Amino acid sequence: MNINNYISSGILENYVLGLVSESERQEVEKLAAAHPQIKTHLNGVEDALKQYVQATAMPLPLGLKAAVMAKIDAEIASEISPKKTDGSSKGLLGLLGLLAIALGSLCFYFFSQNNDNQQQLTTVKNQYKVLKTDCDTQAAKLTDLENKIAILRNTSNKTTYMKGLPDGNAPKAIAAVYANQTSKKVYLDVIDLPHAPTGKQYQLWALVDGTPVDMGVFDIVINADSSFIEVPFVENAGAYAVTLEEEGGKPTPDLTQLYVIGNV
Amino acid sequence: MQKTAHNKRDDEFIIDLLENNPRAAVEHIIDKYGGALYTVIYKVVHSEEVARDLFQDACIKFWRHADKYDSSKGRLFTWLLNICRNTALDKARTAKFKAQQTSKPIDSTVYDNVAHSEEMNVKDIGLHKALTQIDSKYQDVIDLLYLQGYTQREAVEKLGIPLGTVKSRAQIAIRELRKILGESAFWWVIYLMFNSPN
Repeated sequence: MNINNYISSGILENYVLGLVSESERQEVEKLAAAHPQIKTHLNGVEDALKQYVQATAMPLPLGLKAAVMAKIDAEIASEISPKKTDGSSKGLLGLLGLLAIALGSLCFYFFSQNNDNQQQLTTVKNQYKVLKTDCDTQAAKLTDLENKIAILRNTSNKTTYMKGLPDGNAPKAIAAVYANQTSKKVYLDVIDLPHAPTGKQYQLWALVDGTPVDMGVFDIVINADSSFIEVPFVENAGAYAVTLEEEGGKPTPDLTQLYVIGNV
Repeated sequence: MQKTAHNKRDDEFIIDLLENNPRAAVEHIIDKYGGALYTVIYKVVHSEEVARDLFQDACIKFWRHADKYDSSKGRLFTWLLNICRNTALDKARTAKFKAQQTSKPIDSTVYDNVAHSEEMNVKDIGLHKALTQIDSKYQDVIDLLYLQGYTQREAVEKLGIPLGTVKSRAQIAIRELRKILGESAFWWVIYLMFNSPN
């Protein structure tokens, strides 16, 4: 069986969309497990569809995330609450027995009421904690976004996009440099870079007449929206680039570890 | 010196969390894929109220069945997508739901809730513009099959075209998608981002 012919027949695209028969489906899965080339193509199709959905998707409605997290917290809280015990005692003969049962039921009633209240209180407390954290996060996000907008709107900005080379380390990576010519403030915007492995850091360079000038190392942070990173102003930069170096960086770049590059 | 942290955009990071801290995993899933997954559900039920409830149900399932995801079987997004889609389809196929739908108007816009946006990735705006350039007959096929979970037979009925045409349009649609998402069109996307009329 010719792998290339199989791939270009389009059967893998139909597989991801559910357009194949049961026997074709099993065949695809068997061949994908046996041939990495086929699995890679399948992954590519899944990824393309995922990107299509993401790019054409509606925004998530307001408050929905908070509602989901509150619901999960409620589930967590209810799973660790004490189990209710059956308060009814074994029957004793006669009036004493009835009285004991009545008394027992009354106690059980108050006991379970208290449990309910405790549960509700815990749930509400958890929900409040969750909402407060969410609120704080949103407030911080907002401030950060306002700062970013102020930087981007500046009319003295010169914007340079750096992108990954098609056959390089990260073809889909993108970053940007906003350099303000009057204030000499320069910002690095990490739009999409893969995370650096332990012991390594990204380093930004300016190319002045072909000579690389160190602009410092940086990390990708875990915030919901990573902030712009302020970097030094380099006069006459012709291009900017990012390489992956040992932690702490190096005085000259390792060009085999180039991730993104762009001309000013 | 700052410690290098995981880029939260990595699926690997989320997959790790599913095993060790499902609650945090769900939070990151919503941050990264929330809009897309909500859209999948909305396109099946066409009601924001219902979609909101079903989205919550689906997220609880992610949390509850976090240990069931197996990365050798396929992409994380596909697993999430299928849970959302099945949750929505289960609801849509109930008699009660069907009865409620007769008087609803049919919507065809992609952005129904622009006013409610929480976050719009700058990169996605340009990508969206580029992707909507694909002929609508190809987009319809992807929408029905991939987003709304129609079967072969249902797609043939709904689109009124033979199965062979459905299959070939699907193949062409995905090839077009991969071309647009490939490097050669990157500058076109940047161009569109900065030159589109507002």
